[in-house]
Amino acid sequence: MKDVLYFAPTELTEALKLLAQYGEKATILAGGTDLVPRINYYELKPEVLVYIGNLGLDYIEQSDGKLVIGAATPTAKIAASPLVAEKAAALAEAARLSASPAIRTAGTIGGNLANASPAADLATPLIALGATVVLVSAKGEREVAVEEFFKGPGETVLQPGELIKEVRVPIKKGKSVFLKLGRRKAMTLSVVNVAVYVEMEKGQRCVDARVALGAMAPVPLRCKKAEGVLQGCVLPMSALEGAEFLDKARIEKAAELAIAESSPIDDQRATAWYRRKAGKVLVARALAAAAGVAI
Amino acid sequence: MDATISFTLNGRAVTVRTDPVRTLLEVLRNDLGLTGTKQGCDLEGECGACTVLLDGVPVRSCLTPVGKVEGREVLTVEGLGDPDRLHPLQKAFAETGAVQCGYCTPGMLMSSAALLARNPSPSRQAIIEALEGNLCRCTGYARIIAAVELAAARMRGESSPDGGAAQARPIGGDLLRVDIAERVTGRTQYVEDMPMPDALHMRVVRSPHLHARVVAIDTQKALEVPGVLRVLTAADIPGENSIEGYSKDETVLVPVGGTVKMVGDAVALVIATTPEAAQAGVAAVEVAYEPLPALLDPEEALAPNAVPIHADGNVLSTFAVTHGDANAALAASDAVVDVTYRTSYLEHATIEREAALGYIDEEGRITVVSGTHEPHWHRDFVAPVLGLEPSQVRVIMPPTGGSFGKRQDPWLVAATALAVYHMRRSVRIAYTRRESFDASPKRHPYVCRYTVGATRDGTLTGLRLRVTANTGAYDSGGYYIPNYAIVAGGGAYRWQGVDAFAQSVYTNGPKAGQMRGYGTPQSNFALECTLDEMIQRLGDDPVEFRLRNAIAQHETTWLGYPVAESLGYRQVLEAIRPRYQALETAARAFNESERNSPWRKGVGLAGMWYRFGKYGIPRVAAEAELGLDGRFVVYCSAPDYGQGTATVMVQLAAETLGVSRAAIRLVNADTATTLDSSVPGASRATYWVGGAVCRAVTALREVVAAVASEMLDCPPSAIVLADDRVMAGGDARRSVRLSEVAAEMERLGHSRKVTGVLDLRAQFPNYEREVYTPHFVTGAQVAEVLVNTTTGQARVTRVVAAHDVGHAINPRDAQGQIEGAIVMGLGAALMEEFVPGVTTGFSDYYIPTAKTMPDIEVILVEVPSYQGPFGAKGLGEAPILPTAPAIINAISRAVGARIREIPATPERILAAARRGGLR
Repeated sequence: MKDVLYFAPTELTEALKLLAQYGEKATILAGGTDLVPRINYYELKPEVLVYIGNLGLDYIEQSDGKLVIGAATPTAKIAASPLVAEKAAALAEAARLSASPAIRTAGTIGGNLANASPAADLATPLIALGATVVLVSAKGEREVAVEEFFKGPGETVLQPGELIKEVRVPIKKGKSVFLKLGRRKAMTLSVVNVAVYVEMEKGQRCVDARVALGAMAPVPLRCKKAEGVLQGCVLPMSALEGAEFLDKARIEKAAELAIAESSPIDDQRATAWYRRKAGKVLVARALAAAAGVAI
Repeated sequence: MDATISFTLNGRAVTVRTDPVRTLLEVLRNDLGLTGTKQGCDLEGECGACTVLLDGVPVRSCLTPVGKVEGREVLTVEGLGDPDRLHPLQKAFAETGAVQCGYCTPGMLMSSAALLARNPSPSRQAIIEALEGNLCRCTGYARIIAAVELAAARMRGESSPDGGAAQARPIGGDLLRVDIAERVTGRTQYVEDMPMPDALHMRVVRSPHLHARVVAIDTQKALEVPGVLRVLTAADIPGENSIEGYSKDETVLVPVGGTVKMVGDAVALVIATTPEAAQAGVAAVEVAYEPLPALLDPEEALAPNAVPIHADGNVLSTFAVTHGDANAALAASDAVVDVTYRTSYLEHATIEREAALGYIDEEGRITVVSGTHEPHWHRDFVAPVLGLEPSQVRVIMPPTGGSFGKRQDPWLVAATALAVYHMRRSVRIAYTRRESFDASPKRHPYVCRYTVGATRDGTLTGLRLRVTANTGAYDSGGYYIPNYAIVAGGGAYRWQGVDAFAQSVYTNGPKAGQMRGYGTPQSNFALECTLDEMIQRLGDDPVEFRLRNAIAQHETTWLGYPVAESLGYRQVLEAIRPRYQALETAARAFNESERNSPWRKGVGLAGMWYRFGKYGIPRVAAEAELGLDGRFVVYCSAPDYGQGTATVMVQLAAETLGVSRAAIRLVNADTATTLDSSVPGASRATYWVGGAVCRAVTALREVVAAVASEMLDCPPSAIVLADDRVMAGGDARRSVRLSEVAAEMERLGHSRKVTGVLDLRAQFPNYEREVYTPHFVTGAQVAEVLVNTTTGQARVTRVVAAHDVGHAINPRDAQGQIEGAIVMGLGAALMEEFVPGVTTGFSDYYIPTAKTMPDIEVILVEVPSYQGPFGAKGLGEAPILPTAPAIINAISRAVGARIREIPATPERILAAARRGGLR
């Protein structure tokens, strides 16, 4: 017997009431792919579990210029959604490459973020796409940028009584790319993952660039210096005016800056040396693909 | 807090009252009795064996709190089909050889069923992606994917040939596994599935230290834990605290005053009414340790001032071979390669964890049901621990989820028997996956220094070899490792001079023991890579170089004697030559056209010889009986942990008798009912036990013919056997039923059971030589690898394998063994590494998935053996030997620098690519 109070509310208000009532004693259960093993191992003995799979938070919609994804939406649904593929390609790809099929059917986007692994696959594309999370509690709602959501490994800005209701991804004109390396092809944690977003004016001048790195720092990381050197650059053959050429050298410069901003560690999956070397290759490859530059 | 949970299970409404936080897996298995769904990891979602469908979607039942399934539909393997009405997937899995041990099969089937429901015409890639989360350690995945394709075609209504082959001859024709319908429907009961409602539960108190003295053990608090009945320590061992026959220096439980020598060493056994209570009891046992300096590096353990891990020093065993004058041969060489290769600790990672069920049988024997390579062997190790005669102990081999050598360790049987001895009740134990990683024997890590010489024209001259094998804390069946290291390490090559020395060295790492190939894959890896370095140095051709230097059939080898059995190495190399040449040419073209990309394609070749059948010439016995029902019964000990030996025994008996397989019943591997067939692994089951089975049924046929000839009034030579009757000269009108023959034998007082013995001492007169074996199998593999020189990622795209298997009794299973070995060898080459104190389970010990699998082409080179049954040889282990060196040779050639340590992680490949000047 695990002696846990288990609730499976069917209304959001009911769930928020339970979370308010039990405060720090309450643990939220969604897909369970990260939480249940810890309970099974007796690492974690939650007093109260609140299952949020029956709250109607499983949806992918387009609204108000945004892609809105319910927190309890399984990763498999995101991977299979034509809407996500069209409006947030990097997110779709990250979902497709994460874990394995029977984990993706259970694991949710909200859970992937709340678990706050530095290697969380869905975090980097959301940061690159400028997404926000909507956090709700009995007291009300607040919206936080995904890049500001993480505080450290396993730590987020979520307060007791609060849950992630949905993720909002602005629909923009640019192109996003996600790349990942692991120790094997499937069912693997990222040794490094990269998501980038690049918007090219008339296909020739970079007007917006965002770069995010996973498993390269205590939290999924946005690399603003790397983004900075891409802003306003134009393709070498362009008729447009630009500060600098957006060419192989510029992309490699950006990749170098991104890696300089990171602080990878040695662990059993890879050394920091390897993460830097391979991470740089991945950033360059992702930027080149997003910007349409051959490298 | 219990709740009432209602859901639909396999089409029928069920209601359970339980804690909603318990996993669906536990509720299915323990409360609802559906044990087809398996647990392979520590309820952490890493293995896929527990996959079920929830509302048609695959989920891990171990990650699903049962509260979540309220009002929903659950489908398990039992609901997919039953033995009389197999689902098309189950039928296809059976027919394609997609099932070896069968432990991953239920999960594979459920993932496949979900795919086909969603996509009736999946591409191969879609199938691979659907199965990427289901680990299999036996098959190498290829046949599973083929099975899904076959089932999909049939479900679409396309005609596909029926693989049943009921009319085919037993050998080479009728290939279905003997118990396949049960395996594919989840009906097969592995140890953990066997019902025993009153069984107690045992857990083990294990050392958290690498090296420490046990100062005191206090069991008082553990005994106060509700449900804990007994805590056993070394003081409770009635006989010898030793499993010496297997591991000369290992205790069953480390006593007070003794030292634990590795993490996972067993100190006490806690027996309780529930697994949870036993676990709580383990946590409450207080062991006072005095930590001692620990050694993990064998080089340090060999230092003169090193702490002795065992009383008589840190060297377990040594072996040397001297042949000719190696120094002179090396000195006279035009080229000498002097290099050092290293390998890692590897874990078998069978999908079934270690488990045992002990009880007192109807004749009062202490009985243990547990996976083993030879129940008689384990019985004989365990009886002295209990101070009993072997006849007072019984060991039974159950259906088992893989071994690869893992289940040769008798510790679990000894511990379970000890618990039953004291409790006089049934006791069960199942390791956690973490425990399985900590406490089970590993593959020995090697450091191999090779000095190899050759003349300018590519003739090998001298070999100097030094091997240091890390045996970890104990012998654990590793005593002969130095011998195996050297025999494999010289290969099937002609050397003018050999100076080889190997030693097995104690450290405080995990005990190393038997694992597929027993000490040979590591030195063969080093040899075949060193040869490739020489071949590149000389600008020679990998196939021609090996052919030029391969020993001939009757030549006295560098071991000092000729190979007595047939040797097919030249045939193997000839068979693989065109495939090597074609792939090599294609790789050159690829690298030329992709000059500016980071991708390089490499093609590598490696060979091997493997001395199967352990050492010595055993006297192997089996029995055959004519049952009163007129069926033939074969009694032998050829434990089948997934490799298919049970099927082979039935095939051999049926072919020998000239009847169909349906006429044969097999009683296998139970010390109370079968003879000792002396088969602790080493790929010897088909050749040796199979040979004994053939002799037993031949003898039985003679007895039956003698009695039947009297009944039919014809000479015994005119007797023809059919499945259920005996005929005179093939005339169906002059026949009697076999059941009537059996009744007549009873009436006459003739024994209906006869013994067959295989004893080949006359055929192999060298048998008295030390560690002698007459038979070797050979093989060669070509690997094609795509390497990204900027990230170090390597993808093995193709492996071609040519193996001399003798006459293939079951060609499909022979190919399945080769495919499985290749994928396991790929894991060793690229990703597998057990790090003591770091590695915990499948989440950090990566084994290949369906996505890692290369395209595999198998070429069976059938060079019949002289003495094996129907020309068969032993195959199970050997195909793993050439895989890692073929892959590493391919990568090294692709990046232009040598990789001399495996696994070749992306880091090591990237570092090599930089050395090679590619980036």
